Amino acid sequence: MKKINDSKIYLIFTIIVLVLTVLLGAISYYSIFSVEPEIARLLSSDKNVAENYKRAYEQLRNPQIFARYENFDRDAQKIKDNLIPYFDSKISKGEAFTQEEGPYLNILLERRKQGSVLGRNTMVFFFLLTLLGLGFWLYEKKNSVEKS
Amino acid sequence: MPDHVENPRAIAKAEIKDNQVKYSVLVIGDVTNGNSDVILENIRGEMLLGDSAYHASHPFKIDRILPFQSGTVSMTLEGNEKEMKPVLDFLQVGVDKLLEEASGKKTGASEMVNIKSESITMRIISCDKKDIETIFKEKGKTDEKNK
Repeated sequence: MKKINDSKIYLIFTIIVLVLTVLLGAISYYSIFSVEPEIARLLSSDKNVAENYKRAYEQLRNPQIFARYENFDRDAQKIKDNLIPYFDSKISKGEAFTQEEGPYLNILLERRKQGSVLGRNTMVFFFLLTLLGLGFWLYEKKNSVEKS
Repeated sequence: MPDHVENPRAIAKAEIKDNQVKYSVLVIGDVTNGNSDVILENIRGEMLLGDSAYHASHPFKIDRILPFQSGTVSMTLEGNEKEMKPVLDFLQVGVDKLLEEASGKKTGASEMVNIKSESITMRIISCDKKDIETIFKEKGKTDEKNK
């Protein structure tokens, strides 16, 4: 029986999952290292609270791709029904943010962090798939070299 | 884009004035913007109530609906018993009961009726869409002007 050489399939599989790994990593680590620290800095500042909270909300209003507000999960429901309408109305009316609203903005920041952690964990999963695909590809290559 | 009316309900009442009975039905519903980052503005549409046996329509206008929020649409139908009987029958509201309340024989508020969601529809004729980020830019420009 003729042995089928699957090395091409393994190679294509490895490349695809590697690309997904890189994409997920880029999205997640951009949020972890750039966006989230900036938002945390704005929310922890004692001066110019109204302006800083507004800038923080402007960034939070653009959610992390894995933590979008229209996603159907228990946490998103409370944010979607209460926090987002409340803060959007506030911005629309030109009202200033207050110190008391800090904890609610931190809830939005936590959701963003959960999204980037989910993205990072998914990246690890795809990285492991990349290693698996690479391993199978090398094994298949070795077998085909030995046979020839 | 919203394509249906949520939480439809109606308030039916009768009023006796100059020995004549006038019936009115106020139909109310909510139009929800389910988008997470799109603002709907200058929404013009038509609200349609009824089925194969009875139907009524009324235009509506909503200035702005922010993401995950709702705007209210309403339609008022008024007339004498003959004019209003089709809609009262459609809503399964008893004329006698309304007359009792109007004449004061029975205390209580006007009759609130829940409407089946398939009996009320809407269509949007025109609507402007804006990204949610525009409200930050609008207010930002306003803040700059005020400084």
